[in-house]
Amino acid sequence: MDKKRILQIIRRNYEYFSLPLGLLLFLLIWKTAAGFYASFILPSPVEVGTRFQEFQRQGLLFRHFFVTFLEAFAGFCLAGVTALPLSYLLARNTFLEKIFTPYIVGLQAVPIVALAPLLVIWFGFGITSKVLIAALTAFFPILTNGVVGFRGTDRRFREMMAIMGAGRKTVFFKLEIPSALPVLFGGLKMGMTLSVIGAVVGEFAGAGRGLGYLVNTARGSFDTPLIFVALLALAVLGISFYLFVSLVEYLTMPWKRRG
Amino acid sequence: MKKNFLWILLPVVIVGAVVFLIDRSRPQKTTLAMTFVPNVQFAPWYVAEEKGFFREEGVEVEFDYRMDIDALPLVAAGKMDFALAGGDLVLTARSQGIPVVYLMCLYAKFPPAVVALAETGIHKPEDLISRKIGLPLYGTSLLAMKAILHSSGVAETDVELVDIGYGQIAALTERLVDAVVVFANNETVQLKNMGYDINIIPSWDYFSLVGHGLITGEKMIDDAPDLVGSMVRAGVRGMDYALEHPDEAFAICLKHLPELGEEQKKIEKEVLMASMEIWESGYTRQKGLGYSHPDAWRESQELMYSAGLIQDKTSVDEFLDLSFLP
Amino acid sequence: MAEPVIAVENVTLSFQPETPPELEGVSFQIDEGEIVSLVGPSGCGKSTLLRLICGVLAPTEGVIKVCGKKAVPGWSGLGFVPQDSLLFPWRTVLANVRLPLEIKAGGELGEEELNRQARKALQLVNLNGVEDKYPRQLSGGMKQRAALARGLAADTRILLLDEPFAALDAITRTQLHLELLSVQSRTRNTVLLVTHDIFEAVFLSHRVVVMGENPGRILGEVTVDLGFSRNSKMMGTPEFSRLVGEVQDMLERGWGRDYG
Repeated sequence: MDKKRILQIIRRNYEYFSLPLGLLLFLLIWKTAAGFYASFILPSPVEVGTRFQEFQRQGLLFRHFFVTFLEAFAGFCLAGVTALPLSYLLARNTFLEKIFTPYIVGLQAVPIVALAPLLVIWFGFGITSKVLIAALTAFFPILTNGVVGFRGTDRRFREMMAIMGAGRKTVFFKLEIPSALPVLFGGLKMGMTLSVIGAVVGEFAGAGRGLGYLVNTARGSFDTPLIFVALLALAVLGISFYLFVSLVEYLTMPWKRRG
Repeated sequence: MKKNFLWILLPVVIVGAVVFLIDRSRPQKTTLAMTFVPNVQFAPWYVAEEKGFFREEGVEVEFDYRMDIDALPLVAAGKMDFALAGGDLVLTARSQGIPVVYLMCLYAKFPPAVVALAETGIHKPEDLISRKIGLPLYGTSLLAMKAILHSSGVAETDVELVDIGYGQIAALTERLVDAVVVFANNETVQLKNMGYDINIIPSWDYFSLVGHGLITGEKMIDDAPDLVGSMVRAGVRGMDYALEHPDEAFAICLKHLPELGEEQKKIEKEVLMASMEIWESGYTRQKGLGYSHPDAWRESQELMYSAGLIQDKTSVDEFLDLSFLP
Repeated sequence: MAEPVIAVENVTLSFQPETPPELEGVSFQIDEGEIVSLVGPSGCGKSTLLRLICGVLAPTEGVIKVCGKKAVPGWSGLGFVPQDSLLFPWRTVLANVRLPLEIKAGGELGEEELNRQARKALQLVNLNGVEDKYPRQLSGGMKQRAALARGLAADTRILLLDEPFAALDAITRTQLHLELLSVQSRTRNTVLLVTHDIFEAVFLSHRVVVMGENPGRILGEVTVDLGFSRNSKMMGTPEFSRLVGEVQDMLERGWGRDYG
């Protein structure tokens, strides 16, 4: 196969090549940058890779990964189950919205980093407090997008439904929900990734296990390669959550598929 | 033509000389990173600044506050001049090949202690078996915990250690744990003032490890030994002065802690007095403030190594530099 | 004499009190099986009138009766075709067409029956092979056909159309004109078509009701006695032109000018 053919193939399928190429570029930049710093400031990819293997062999990485995964996922579900119905209520009822909004905005403005230690004191060092913190972090984007989504139902569609004789329940299930789905999913995607941050913040405030806890213990022993292992694991967690929600989105909204 | 040239050159030379001279007489600027937030425990340096000890050495110090585990790598990498850190942290860093140097000792006695509410009936390490102990699971506190357990023959698997960061007081008063590891000179005072009846197991009953002190990076020693000497001397003078004038020292500290309420001021005064008690030990009374014995370091390193806290041992004279002490 | 299928009696509509009314003193009737066009300039309130007949708006004065009863929203047997097709983007064509059936009798009819009836409606408008496609995959003409099918789906007896062909190109429009006539000849529905296109109005209707604006009111009616079995060649005949002229005159008188 001559050079021309190879370039042709790459050009035509550039989408599939972009991910591994991007990754390669990232590793190259990292390796170069790491050359300028001592390994306790910025370890090279090789050092991190070695540390990862070492740590993996001890069988601990998965345990910490799973704990944070559980905290984030449970927190996300809790946030969704509370935020979505509330968002519908606020979207349809301006009176309730006026009452609730100041409290919601106020609570949202308080940084979760400041609230987390309090929640750990109130709910203990176990998984409960982390789930709550993760839920609190994921709650607001889901709520905000929910309100926008449910409010944005086209008036003309509503009228069409009325002319067809649809009752409240029918309008809810056959119009309001499908119409709001795209925006809702935007909020859910945000919430899902934020729940990971929430779980980590919770672990920073006090925990015995988890990737955030791992970052802290690695900091304490100046094991920078291990910090990076934990951070990369967190990135993987965040990305897989995002892909999961995207998959659900793809399956739930067949009308949005390309071609 | 030549004459004009000279007329331009002369003012430039004069201005340059003036600037140079002014710069010479201006003090050298440097930063000192102290742990977490302003605290009476940093009294020697607050005093040194207020009483002009830094100024007399031709140094102007800016106080910085951040976690010791963040400050140490910066100091080693030359991004920050000086910091305060625990001896155990220095040993951990050195075992990873991080080039820090310990100059001057603040806590001649190892500050951490295990504290429990009297109602738990915990009086000695053996009472901790099957109990929950809360502490920040790294650094000085963790080392103290392991050392106390190790030297009293209690296995780590017999107790439950929980990471509670710096929320020890709340964890203890809310009875979320049975005991906590805190600094004997700080949180114990606060708990007593809150009216709690507590039992204290101080670490210095079990071993003598090296406590917090002034650190810098290896490069600083080579590049700016004068500055290092100035910092150490001023620091020791600060300690000295504070020990002789505790009330004045406290008043100076208050300037850095404007948010304290009346109640808290009383507590912090006691914290300062308790801290000053551990600035001195039999050894410092012999050799002078700021001195730490190389044997104490070896013992600390040995303990940390056998407790699995560090994987490598370093020769003490690589990181302990007492040459700047008066 | 059978009761008129749609009866608009002296209807006045003001959106807000103390403001000039949108519609004033509007009266007309439509009998069963008639195709009537409502023609007028933009903003004369003809679309508003349709919405009143659908029951989603209530008149300030006067009364609107559909089959003898006061107009209420969701009246069974009333199909509506809006200007922008308004197909739900999240439903396939088939699902869109069967929506009125789902709403009216979803519980009683099974899935298969709903689909069967929807397919029947699609066949009526000659829209084939797209039932599993989504609206965004269709052309404008196809979407309007689908909207028409939806309007016909649930045993429709009265079909209301709001400028349904305005957004289409001339050729597609003519196609759909013929399609509509063909459908009506088979189903014998009553049809009320709102349009601003005089030619379209005359071509499709038994009667053309002419409206003026400011306020919206009836200027007059023109009966189109061209018989049925109409084709596009008809548009060139002198009879056709005369009728178009009559409607045009009425409109011009409405805005106070006579180009005579």
